[in-house]
Amino acid sequence: MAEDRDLERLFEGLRRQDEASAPRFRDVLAGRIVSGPRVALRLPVLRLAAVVVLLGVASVMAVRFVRRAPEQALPEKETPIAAWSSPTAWLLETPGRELLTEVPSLLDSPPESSSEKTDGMRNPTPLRKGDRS
Amino acid sequence: MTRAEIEAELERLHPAAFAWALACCGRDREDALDVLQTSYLKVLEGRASFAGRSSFKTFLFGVIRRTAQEARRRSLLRRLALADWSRKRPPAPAPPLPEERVALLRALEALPRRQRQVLELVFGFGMTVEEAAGTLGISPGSARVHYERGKKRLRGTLSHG
Repeated sequence: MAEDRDLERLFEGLRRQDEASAPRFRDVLAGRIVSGPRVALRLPVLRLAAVVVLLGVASVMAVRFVRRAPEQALPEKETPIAAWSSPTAWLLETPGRELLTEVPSLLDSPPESSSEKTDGMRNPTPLRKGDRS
Repeated sequence: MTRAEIEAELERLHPAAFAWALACCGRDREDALDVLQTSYLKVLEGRASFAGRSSFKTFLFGVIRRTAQEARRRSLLRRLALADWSRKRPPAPAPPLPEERVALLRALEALPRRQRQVLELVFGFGMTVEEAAGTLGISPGSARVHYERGKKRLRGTLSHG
């Protein structure tokens, strides 16, 4: 088991080594120590990321433009809103629909063809004796 | 304290501050230098002001710890936002270390951050547990718990390794 003194000795050795590798105070304060490798590595990645983003945005805009173009090419009809009717309005036109809104007149004269037939039935001419043959 | 006095004090503590910045930045030298410069500027420009409640060393180490924490968060966000793979750069060639120091560094890496920081402040920089608590912004009781648990785990790792 490492005792406290052993730990102190180990930590102190590590600290002394770190302290010995410290750059000058003025250089650190002035920021003269530039982390060169990191900048050199990061820039190409940022550029690549920017190019990919720009290409993505451009392609999305192009696809949208192509899809919208035929719709925009159609001439717009200038139809007043009051004249508009649904394309499926004809489905509401049922046979005999006028019976719901109008009262049919019973006094109207029936068609001639049918009245002739019925008149003959209602008022038959009396037969005479000689007519049977 | 005047600016000149603060600057003189920073210069006096500079080697230890660099070692502490290394410890706060996962021993990444470039990150440690960035953090250290930002910390010095914070102190000199008054963005972090020394109130005299503790020693200047405890105050400065606290500023370095917070600055390193901010840098870590920014780095994480940047990696998430930009997929900044360039952070995985090859590590700078380190000077050869004695075997026991390598073992110590490996054992420290296995510890939770708080335990590791308390042990480094107490054993490496000669602070008391209370001073370490002030540097880390935690209560002395909490620092003592981290100290005891960390020491136990570190001893176990070192004796088995």
